[in-house]
Amino acid sequence: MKKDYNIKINNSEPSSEQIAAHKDFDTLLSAHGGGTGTAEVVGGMGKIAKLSIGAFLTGAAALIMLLFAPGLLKNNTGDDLAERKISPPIKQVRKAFASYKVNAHQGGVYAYGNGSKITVPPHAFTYEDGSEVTGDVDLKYREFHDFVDFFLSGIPMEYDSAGQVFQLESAGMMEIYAEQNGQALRINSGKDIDIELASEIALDGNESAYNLYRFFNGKNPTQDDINAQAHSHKTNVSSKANWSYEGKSQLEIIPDNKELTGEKIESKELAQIKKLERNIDREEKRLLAVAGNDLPPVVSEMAKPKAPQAPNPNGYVFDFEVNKTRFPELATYENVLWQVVEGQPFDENYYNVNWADVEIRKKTDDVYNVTLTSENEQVDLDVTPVLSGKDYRKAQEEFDQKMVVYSGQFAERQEKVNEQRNAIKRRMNAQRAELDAQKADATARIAELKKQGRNGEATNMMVTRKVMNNFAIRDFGIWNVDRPLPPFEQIFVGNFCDEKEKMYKGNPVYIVNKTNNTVGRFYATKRNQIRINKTTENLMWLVTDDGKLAIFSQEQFNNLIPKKEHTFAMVTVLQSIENEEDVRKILKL
Amino acid sequence: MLSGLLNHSTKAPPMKVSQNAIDQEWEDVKAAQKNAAAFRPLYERYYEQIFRFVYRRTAEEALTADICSQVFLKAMQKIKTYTFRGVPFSAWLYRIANNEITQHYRHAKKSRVVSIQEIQLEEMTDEIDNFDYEKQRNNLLNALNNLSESDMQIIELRFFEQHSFKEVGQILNITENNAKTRTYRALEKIKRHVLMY
Repeated sequence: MKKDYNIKINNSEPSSEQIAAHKDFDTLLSAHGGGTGTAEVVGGMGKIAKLSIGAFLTGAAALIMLLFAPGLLKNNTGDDLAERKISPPIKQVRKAFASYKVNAHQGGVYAYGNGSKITVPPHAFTYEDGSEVTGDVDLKYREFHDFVDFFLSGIPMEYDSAGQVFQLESAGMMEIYAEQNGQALRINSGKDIDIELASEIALDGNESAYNLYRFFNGKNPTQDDINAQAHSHKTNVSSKANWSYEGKSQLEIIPDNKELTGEKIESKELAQIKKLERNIDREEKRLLAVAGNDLPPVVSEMAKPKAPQAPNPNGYVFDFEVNKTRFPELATYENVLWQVVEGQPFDENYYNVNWADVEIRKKTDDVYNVTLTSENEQVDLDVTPVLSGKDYRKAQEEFDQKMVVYSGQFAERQEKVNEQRNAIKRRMNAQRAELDAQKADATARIAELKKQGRNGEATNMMVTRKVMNNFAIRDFGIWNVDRPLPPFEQIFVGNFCDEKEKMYKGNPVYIVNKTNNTVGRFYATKRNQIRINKTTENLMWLVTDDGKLAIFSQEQFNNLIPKKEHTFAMVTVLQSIENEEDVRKILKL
Repeated sequence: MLSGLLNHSTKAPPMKVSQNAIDQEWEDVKAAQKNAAAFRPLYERYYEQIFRFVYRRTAEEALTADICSQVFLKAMQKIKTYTFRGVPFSAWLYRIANNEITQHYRHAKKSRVVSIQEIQLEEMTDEIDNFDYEKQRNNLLNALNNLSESDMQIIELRFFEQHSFKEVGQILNITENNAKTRTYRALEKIKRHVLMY
C-alpha cells in the first residue's frame, strides 16, 4: 500500500554541539523517579505492576477506620509509642501467611488466591550485609481487608502527618517478608517487588484520595527514614510517625461485566445518568455525521470547476482528437493538448510515428491513460490535459467565473449545514444539562444522607466494587493502601467496666463504625475521650485479661449523651476464641 | 536481475562494534539495571546516535529532542527486562525509538519523513542490475514512496543507516535471515516499480 512519505534528499542534520545541547540526564533521572536506582511510584512515572483484569476478591468487604480527634486521645498507657506498635490482641488467632518457595536467581510470579499477585524479579534478595542471596528463599505474604483482620493483626491504623493524627481507611493491607534458613532477608536495591493487591471497597467518588503507606513496625523511624521521607515527599515526618507515606495509590476499579465496564461508578443512580450521557454523545455524533444530507446537493466535489493547466515547458506534449461526448469534462476546453506525466519514459520518435489507433481512459480527476498503437508497437502513457495560449486564457476566464458561482453556492450550503449542526448541538446540550442537574441532585442527596448519619442509605446508593491496588515495594514489611479520614464531631467521655462494675484499665479497646467500616484502637483508662458518629451503627469491644471479648453494642450507643461522662458497661462474651471464625461470629455487625 | 544480494555487503561499511566492547557494555547495562543513575554512561554514549536516528525520521529538532527524551525514559523504565543477546545495546534503543516514532506519526496525521543522502540512494541501486541512476532516479524515488512502512524501515536501516542484517533483525525484532529476506523482497518491489516506468 502506498504510504506517501515526505522524502528529503540531502537534508542537513544538526551538529554534534546542537544535539548535545538537548542532553539532560539529570532531568531524565528525576522523571524516572530514581536517584538511588529504584523506580518508585511517583506521579505516575514509577514502575507499577499492571492490573490483572478479571481478578476478583472473594470474601470480606473493605475496611474503614474510625477517626479519633488529634490530641483528644489521652495517653492511656502513659506510653504514646505503645499505641503505635503492632500488638495482636488474641495471640492464638493470627492470620496465616501464605508461603512461596522462590528461586533467588530466577524470581517468579506468585498468586495469593484472591486475585492478588506478587511478582519477584530475578536476583531480588540480599542478606543483611548486602551480599546477594542464591538458592531458594521462603517468601511469606498475607493480607488484611476488614475490621476483623485489622483487629486480629494488632496493627495500629493511625497516621501521624506533621503532628496531625488521622485514622486510616484501608483499601487493602499486606505484610510480606522473606527468609532463608530462618535468616531474614532484604530486597535487593533496584529490584522492587511488584504487588497487585486485590480488595473491595465502597465507592464514594473519592477513590483518588487513597495513598500507599509503609509501617515502621512499631519503632520510631530513624533519622535516615525521616530524612529520606522528607526528601522524597517534601513533608515533615513526626518522630512519632508509624506509617510512612509512599506516594499515591494506583488503585484500579475492576470492571463488573454485569454493569458498565471501564467506568468508575459512584452510585447506581449516577451510573444510570452516565449511561444516558454516553447515549447522548453517541446520538450527537451520529446526527452530526449526517447533518446536511437532507439538503439538495447544489454543490459537490464533482461539480467543483476544474482549473485549466498550462504545459510544462520541459515536458512532452502532443495532441489528438478527443471524443467530447465520452469525456464531457474536456468539452469545456477546445484544442486540448496532452502532456506526458513526468517520470515516464518517452521517446521523441513517437512524434514521427503514424499511430493507427489511440485509446484514452480516465485514471483520476487529472490523469488519463493513453494507449498508442501502431503497426510495430504499442505505447502506454499517463497524460494530463493542458491548454496553451489564448485557449488557456479563455479557459481561465471561464473557470474564474464558474468559481465565483460555485464558491457562493458552496458557502450558502455550508451555512445551512452549520445551522443544522448547531441545532443538533443545542438540543444535545440541553439534554446534557438536564442530566447534569439530575447528577448534582443525586450527589447532593448522597452527601446529605451521609451528613445525617444515614450512611446505610447512602451506602446502599453507593456501589461496592472490586479493586486492584498496584504498587512496587523496595522493603519488606507492612504496606497499606489507605486514605486519611477527618474526625467525627461527637465526643464521648467515659470509663470502661465489666458486669461487676470493676473498671478496666489498660485493656485495648476497639471501635468500629459499620457503614464507614472503620476500626480504631485505644487503651482503657479513666475518662477516655472518643469520637464517633452516633447516628451510624457502631460496635465497641475490648479484650479482657483472659482473652475474651467484651462488647458495647449499638443499642448502648443510642443512650449516650455527648460530652457527658459515661460508664461504658461492657458485656463479656463467654464463648472461647479458637480461630478467626469465632471472632467474626462475635463481632458481627 | 538482483544477484548475489545475500552474499554481498553494501558498499557503505556497516557499523562495527567489537565483541569485547559488547561484553563490556553488558556490564554497564547490568549496573544500570540495579541503579538508574548508572544509566548515565549509556545515555551519554548513545544520545547522539538515537537523536540522529529520530531526526532522520522527523526533520524537526525540537520534536526529535522530545521523542529522544521519551526513548531514554522508556529505556530506563524497561531496562530490567533487557537481556543480553550479543548485539550492541543500541539495537534495543533503536527499537524503542522506532516504536516512539511510529506512535508519533500515528497521532500526528502527517507524512513520515524519510531522509536520504544522494550517495546512499545511488549505492542502493548497485543492488539492481541494469539500473541507470541518472535516468531512473525519479522512478526510484517514486518506488520508495510506494513502499509500505515495514519495507521502508528495512531499506532505511539497511541502506541509509548501514546496519548489519543482525542489527536490523534486533531493531525490528525479527531474525537475521528474515531481515535478509525482507530486504531482498523490498528491493525486488523497488526494481519492479522502476522498470514499469
